[in-house]
Amino acid sequence: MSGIAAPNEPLDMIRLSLDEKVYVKLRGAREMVGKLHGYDSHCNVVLGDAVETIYEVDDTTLETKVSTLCGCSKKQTRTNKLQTTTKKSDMLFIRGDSVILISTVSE
Amino acid sequence: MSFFGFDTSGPPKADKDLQTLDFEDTYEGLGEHPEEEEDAFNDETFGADIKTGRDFDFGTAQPQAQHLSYAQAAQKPIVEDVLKPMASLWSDQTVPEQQPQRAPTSGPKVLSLEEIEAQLMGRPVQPPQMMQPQMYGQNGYPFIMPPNVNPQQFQQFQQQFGGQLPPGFMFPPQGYPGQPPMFMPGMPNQQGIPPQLQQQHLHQFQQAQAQQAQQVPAQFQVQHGQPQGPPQVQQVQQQQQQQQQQAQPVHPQAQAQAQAPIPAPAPQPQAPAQPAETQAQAPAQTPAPSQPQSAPRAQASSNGQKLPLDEFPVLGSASVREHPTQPAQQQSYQQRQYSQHSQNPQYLQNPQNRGRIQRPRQDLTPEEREKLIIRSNKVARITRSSGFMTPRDKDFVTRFQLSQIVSQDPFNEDFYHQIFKILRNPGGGAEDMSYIAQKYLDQSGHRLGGKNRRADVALQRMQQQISKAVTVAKERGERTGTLAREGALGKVSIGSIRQPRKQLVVKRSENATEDELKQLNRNPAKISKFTRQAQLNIIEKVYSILLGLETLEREAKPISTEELFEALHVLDVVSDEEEHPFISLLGYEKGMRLFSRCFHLLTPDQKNACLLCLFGNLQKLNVVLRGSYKNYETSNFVIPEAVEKKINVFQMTVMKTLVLYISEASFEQVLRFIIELESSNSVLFVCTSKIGLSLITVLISRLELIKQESNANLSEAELEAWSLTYDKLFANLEERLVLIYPPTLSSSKSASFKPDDDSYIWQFLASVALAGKLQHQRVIVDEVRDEIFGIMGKARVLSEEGNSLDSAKFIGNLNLFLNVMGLKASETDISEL
Repeated sequence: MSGIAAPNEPLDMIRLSLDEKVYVKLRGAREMVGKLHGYDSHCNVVLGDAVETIYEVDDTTLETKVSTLCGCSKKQTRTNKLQTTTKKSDMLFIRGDSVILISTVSE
Repeated sequence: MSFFGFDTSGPPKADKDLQTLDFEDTYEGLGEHPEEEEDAFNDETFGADIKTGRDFDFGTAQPQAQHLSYAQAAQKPIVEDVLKPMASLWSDQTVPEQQPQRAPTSGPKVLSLEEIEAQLMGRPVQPPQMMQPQMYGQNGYPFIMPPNVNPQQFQQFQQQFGGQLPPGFMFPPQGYPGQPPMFMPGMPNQQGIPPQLQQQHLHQFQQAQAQQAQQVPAQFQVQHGQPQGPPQVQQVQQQQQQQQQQAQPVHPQAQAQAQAPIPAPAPQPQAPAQPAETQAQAPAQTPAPSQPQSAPRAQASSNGQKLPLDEFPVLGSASVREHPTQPAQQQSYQQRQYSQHSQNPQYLQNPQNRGRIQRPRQDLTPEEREKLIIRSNKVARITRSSGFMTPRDKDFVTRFQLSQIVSQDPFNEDFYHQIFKILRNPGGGAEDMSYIAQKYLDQSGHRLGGKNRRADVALQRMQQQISKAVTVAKERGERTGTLAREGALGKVSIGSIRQPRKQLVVKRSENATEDELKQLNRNPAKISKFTRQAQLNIIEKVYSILLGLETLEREAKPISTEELFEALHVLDVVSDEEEHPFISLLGYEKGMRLFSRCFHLLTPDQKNACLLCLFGNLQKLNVVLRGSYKNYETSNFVIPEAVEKKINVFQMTVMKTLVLYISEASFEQVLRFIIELESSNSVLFVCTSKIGLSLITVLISRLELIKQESNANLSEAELEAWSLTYDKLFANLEERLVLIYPPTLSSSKSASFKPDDDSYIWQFLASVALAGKLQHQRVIVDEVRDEIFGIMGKARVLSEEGNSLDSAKFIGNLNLFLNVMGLKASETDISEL
């Protein structure tokens, strides 16, 4: 006997991560890491002890980047001007329509 | 010819002054008199609740009258009544009793009209012959007859067909453009009358009901003899042509009545050219020179007065001769105008309406009448759209709604509400059906019984509905998902609360066996059991089995735990390098919770097997493996927070369950556990973890407890075995006992730790000392002497610092151990108890 039941549907993969730490990538250059408390068929997700990371690119640097038009400096400005903001919350609900992917996190 | 009096023939004089005056000069003042002047008494004449007819609106497919008619028709299942007024008018011409019923009165304006009528009552009675044509004009005639047919024709026509034809027969509904088709072949009961009237005239027409019903079929036979067109119209028109001469004299009189209250819009020489003229002019203009009595009569009606129509003679008597010929032009005009009225169902309805309402209220006070009117209006408003749905329809709707809230498996589908219900109302919830029914009635604001006294009836009904709904829900549950076609990616699915509509359904073939699934996984052996994925899969599988079992348990049904035990993989045999699936399951927090949830379901043998497996693999247990301080030498032996958390969870769940079980286990069982633990684990390593040490403590304590409690019951072999095992255990720890102290909890190595943290160590030592002989105790005290004095020193310092609480705790923990040996420690020294 194989010992494991093959997943019946894609969401069963998420089910395996219940009560585990998951990484959720969201629209709007955001991502979350937290303990998966629940989900549904719309990919609505409830996370506990979640850490949200928001990536922002400074608009002004974008403009300068375009003006320089140099490949090397472009790379530099990109890495330099990418800002991240993190937020923590004990428990939060993510509406499914903004979820791009859900994956497990190695602890 | 001028257009509004504007002279179009003459050339414009190009005078600028003239242009400004143009309108005023040429305007005849047609619009100066507001319509209200002419309409002032429309209410008295036609009734206030009349809606404007739409016959003039040819763009509208369905006139309003017809729309209303369906509602009324649905409302009144007994439709034979409808035909009665006609019968009373036409078939029973000589019966004088029916006269009162036909008296025209106005509906909503009853009050004022009645007062007027009361005044009129005192007036001298008019000759019957005079009144009769007015009757036709105002009351019965327009209702029944086509515009060009007069009572005379009806009489003759009736005579031709035996005189018993129902009045409905004479009404040619389809013959008029723009008129709603009131004659419905499928509904013979309604023909000739706007269904609106059905209700209003119910009681009035009941007398002729039976007669009417008989006449209808006969009438149809006659009709079907005519090949083309609406048969009635044809016949009537033929008759009309033959009797043209006789018909004519009637009209002027009738027209005069109809014309007076309504302004004539068309240019007609003899009709009032200017609508602004007073009502008194209307009868005056009516060219009826040989009818002196008709003028006051017309005037009376146009002034909003009502005629005492009780005095009116029977229809169809020789009134025709009273009215000499009219000028042809006027007659045709009046006919036209008249036909307009007759085509308006509202208009037709009204006189009848009056007749009905007025009669029973004559002896009521004005206040009472007012109340009555208000009440009847209200009733009419409420019942306007009632009766659309049959009881079966209603049942269907309630069932449909209920089937959404009813579930055959409430604990699975509606878990939180069920729990909430139990919490809110412990002990209740026995009558689930009535509960739901009551809830539904409350929520939907239904009171099917209408009054409170019938609420219980409604409740009963609803309960029946719910039991039906449960069946429906069951069927639906079976149905869902079966719509998927093999090979098709999509399916026709109906979404529900519990089963949202799926975008994509791939149906797995029914005969996909375990072997085929194995083939799908190219190397199932490697995937299974040992990867994180597999472990999580095991947990989920166990959970789903557990949920099913718990449902069965709630329903007090027999439970088979075979599947559950199988899913736990307790009996799996694995090599030393691999992690046992059951043990790995306990490495997850949800696995720990799962264990404590399903442990009580297992049979004693299965429980035993579980514990044997657990103790046999104790050093592989996550909380032991990761919980040993030996792992964290690099980080100053501090156990990571995540592991601490897991240990806590383990203590709260698995540990609790185990302690509970072991505290009731037999000596033999516990002995087996500890032998298993000893033989397959490194006891020393297990003892470096909090969980390991605690478990060993529990086992030893239990064994000693049984031994002391029921010495006699234990066989010599068992006692011997225990003694042997203890010696082994002690040998393992001898000279290394200090290692059980994590550096963080060692008073000689760590300066700060909380007094609660080290209690488990002292408990372990206490249990070991309890089980051991005096020599064992001596060894133990020797080995941990530093720790003992360290704690005492710590307590002394804390006491001096004023923290006597912590100090006492430290001493208390220490005494757990010392008391076993009959010793007692204080902050300063150790004494005997």
